[in-house]
Amino acid sequence: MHNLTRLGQLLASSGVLLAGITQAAPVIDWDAFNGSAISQHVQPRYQQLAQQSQTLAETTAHWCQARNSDDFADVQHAFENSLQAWQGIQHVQFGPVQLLMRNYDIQFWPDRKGIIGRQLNDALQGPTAGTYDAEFFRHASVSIKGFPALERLFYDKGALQTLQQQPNACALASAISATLAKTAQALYSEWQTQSISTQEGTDDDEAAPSDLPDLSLDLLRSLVQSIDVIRDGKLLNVLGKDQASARLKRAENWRSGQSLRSIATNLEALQELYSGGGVNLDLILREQGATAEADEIGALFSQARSQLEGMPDDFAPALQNASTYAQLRAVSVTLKALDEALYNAMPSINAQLGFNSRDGD
Amino acid sequence: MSFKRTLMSLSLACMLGATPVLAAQSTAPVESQAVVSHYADLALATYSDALTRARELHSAVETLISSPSEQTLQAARSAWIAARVPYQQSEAFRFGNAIVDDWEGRVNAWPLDEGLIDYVATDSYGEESDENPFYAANIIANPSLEIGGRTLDASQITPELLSTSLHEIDGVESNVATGYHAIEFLLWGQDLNGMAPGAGERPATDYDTDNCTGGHCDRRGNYLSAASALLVQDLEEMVANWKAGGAARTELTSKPTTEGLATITTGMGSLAYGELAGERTKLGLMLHDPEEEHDCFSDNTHWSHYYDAKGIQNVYLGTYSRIDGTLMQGPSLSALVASVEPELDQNLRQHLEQTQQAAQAMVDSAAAGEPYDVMIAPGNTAGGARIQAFVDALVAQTRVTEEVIARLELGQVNVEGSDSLDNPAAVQAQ
Repeated sequence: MHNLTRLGQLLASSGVLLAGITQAAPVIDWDAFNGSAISQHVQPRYQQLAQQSQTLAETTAHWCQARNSDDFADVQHAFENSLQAWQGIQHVQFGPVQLLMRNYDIQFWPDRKGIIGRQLNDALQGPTAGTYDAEFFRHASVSIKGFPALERLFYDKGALQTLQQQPNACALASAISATLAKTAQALYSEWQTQSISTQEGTDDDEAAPSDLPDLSLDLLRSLVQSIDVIRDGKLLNVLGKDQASARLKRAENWRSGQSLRSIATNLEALQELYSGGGVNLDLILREQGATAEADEIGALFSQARSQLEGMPDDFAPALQNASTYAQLRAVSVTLKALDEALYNAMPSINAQLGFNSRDGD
Repeated sequence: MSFKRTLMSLSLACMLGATPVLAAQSTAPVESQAVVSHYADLALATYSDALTRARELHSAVETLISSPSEQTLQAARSAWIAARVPYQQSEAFRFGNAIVDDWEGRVNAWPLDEGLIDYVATDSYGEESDENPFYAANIIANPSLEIGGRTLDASQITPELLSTSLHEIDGVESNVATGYHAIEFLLWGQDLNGMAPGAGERPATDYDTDNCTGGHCDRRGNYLSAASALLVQDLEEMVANWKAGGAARTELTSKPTTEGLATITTGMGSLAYGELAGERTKLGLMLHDPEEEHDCFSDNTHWSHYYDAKGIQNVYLGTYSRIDGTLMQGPSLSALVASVEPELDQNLRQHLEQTQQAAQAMVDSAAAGEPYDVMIAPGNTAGGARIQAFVDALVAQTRVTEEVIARLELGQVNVEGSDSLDNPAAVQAQ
C-alpha cells in the first residue's frame, strides 16, 4: 500500500493545482451528452438487436419445420448476427434492460457452476418439458432464457442431431429465440418512448452523490467499467498465467467460436460511446482542458482494436498458437492502460463512479 | 481489482476532504483516529469470538468422529451454526483490509464444487463442468487421482494437503477444499430437497467406521478433522493480525487517518452491494436454483445474510454484541458523520436498520418453514419479494454510504480535477 502513501504525499501540493482548473473549466452540458449518447448510440444499437433477434426467431421457427441439415448453417448465422448485436450494446446495463432484470434474461454469464446445462436438461426432459409458453418463461431461471442457452442448443456436440430428433429441443430453441426477439423489441421501444429526462438509470430512489445527472453517470459507468470486465472476465480469465494454463471453456461464447469477435464488437461499441457523433466524452474532456487524457484514451482504443485485427473469431486457435497468445496478452496490457486512462480522466469531469456491482468479487 | 480501485478513489476522496473535517473537529467530541482505532478493536473482538466458536466446532467435530451418532452429529451442526454468528459479522472487515481479503478465501470461499471433496448425487449435480476438471474428483474416495495428466497423491488427508494441494486446485476458485462451507458439506451433505423445505441429510454413519455409509468413513473423518483444525489455525492467524502490533492493525493505523476512514466505508459498501446484494442474493433469485444460496447444505443462509448485514451496521455504529453477551461501544463513523451532517447520519442509520428488518423477514420466513431456497423457488412470488426487499435495502444503503463518502470530501471537489493524483494504476500494480 506504499503507493497510497506516495499519493498522500502528493496531496500536499494539490491545493496549488485547484484554482486554475476551477476557473478555466466551462460548465459541462450533460443533457447534450445524454441526448447524443441515447439517440446516436443506445437507440440504434437496440434497434439492431431487435432486428437481428427477430431474424433469428423467424429463422429458427422456419428451420424447425423441416429440420434439414443442409440449411442449419442459416440458423447459426442468424444466431451469430443476433449475438453480435447484443455484444454491441451489452455494456448498457442500466435503464430498461435492468427492469425485471432483463439483462440477465438475455445473457447469464459467466456460469461458474454449470447451472445452464443442468437447468436446460431439466427444461428439455423434466416434468414440465414440452410446454414453453409465456407462463413457462415467466417462472423460468434466467439461465435458460437467453443467448447462452441458445448457444448450447445450436453448438453443443451433437446439437444438430438433438434438434432434429428431439421435438422439445427445437420447440425450446424456437421459444427462447422468440422470447429474445420480444425482449429486444420491448427494450428498443422503451428507449424510444421514454423521454431522456425521465430515463432513470439507477433502480433506487437515492440521489447520486454527484452533481452529474444519473443518466450521465450510468453512461460513464457503462464506458469505464466495461473495459475492466472485458480485460478481466473475457480475456485474462481465459488466458491464465501462461499458455499451458489457458482455459478455453472459461471464455464467453466459446461454443459458437465467437469469443474474440465479441470482444472486438465490445471495443468498437465502447469507442463509439467514447468519441462517436455529437457531444461525447472525448469532446467534453477536451473542453475541460484534459486534451492529453483524451488523446491517450482515443489512442489506446485504436491500439486495442488494431491488436485484435486479423485474429480469428474463435478463441481456440488463438490459444494454440504462441504468437497469437502473446498478441492477446498485449491486448490485455493495452486494456489495462485504457482502463487506467479512463479512470484518470474522471476527476476532470468531476465524476465519482461509486461502488460497482463487481466490487466484492 | 475493482475493489482496490474503489478503495483508492475513496481514500483520495477522504484524504482530500479530510483537512477541513479534521480542522473543524479540533473541538468536536469524535476524533477520526479514535474511530479507526475502535474499528480495529471491533475487528479483534469479532475475530476472537469467531476463533472461540471455531475451537468449539473443532471439539464437536472430534467427538463426532470418535463417537459417531445422530446426537454428536447434531451437536457438531449446532456448533457450526453458532460459529457462523461472529464470523459473518467479521465480513465487514474484509474489503478494504488487504490482509483480510487475501486470507478470506481460505475460510469462507463459496460457491464450491462439492464433488471435489466427497460423493454427490450425480443426477442433480452432474459429472462434469466446463470450468473445473476436478468437479467430481471425490478426494475422500480416491487416495490417488490422475486428472489432466497430473497425479495427485491424496493418500494422507492432512491440513497441509487441503490447504496447499487441494484448495483452488488447477486455479479454479470453486475447488473449495477448506473453510466453513467445506465443513458444512461434510456435516450436512448435499441438500437433495430441491426447492422444498429441508437441508442436507448426511447420516452420522458416514463417520462410523464400523457401520460405514457412503464409503471411506475413515478418510471422511480425517478430512473433516483436518478442515476444522485448519479453520482454527486460520482464525488464530487473523486474531493475531488485529492484536496490538499485528499486521492488519498496523497497516490500518499507519495509514493517514482519512484513509483509515475510507477503509471502513469501502468495507461497508463493497460487502453490501457487489458481494451480499449481488453475488450472494440476487443471483439466487434470478436462477431459482437451490445450489445458489450461501449456506446451501445447512439451509442457514438467512442467518448468514442477517449477520453479514449486521456486521456492516456494527462497523458504522461502532458497536458489537460479543458472544459472551457484553456490548462493545466506542467512537464511531456514525458520530463522525453526525458531527458534520446529522441528517445524513440519521439517513444511513435508518437504511442500515431497514436492511436489518429485511434480513429479519428472511429469518422469520425460515423459522416459519420457508427457508431461503424455498423463497427463491420459481413461482414463489411472496418469497421472492422478501429476498428482493433485502437486495433493495442493501442497494439503497450503499447509495447513502456513497453520500457519506462524498460528504466527507466537503469543499474539495475541485481537487479531483487534479487528475494526476487519482491514479488507480498505483494500487493495481501491487
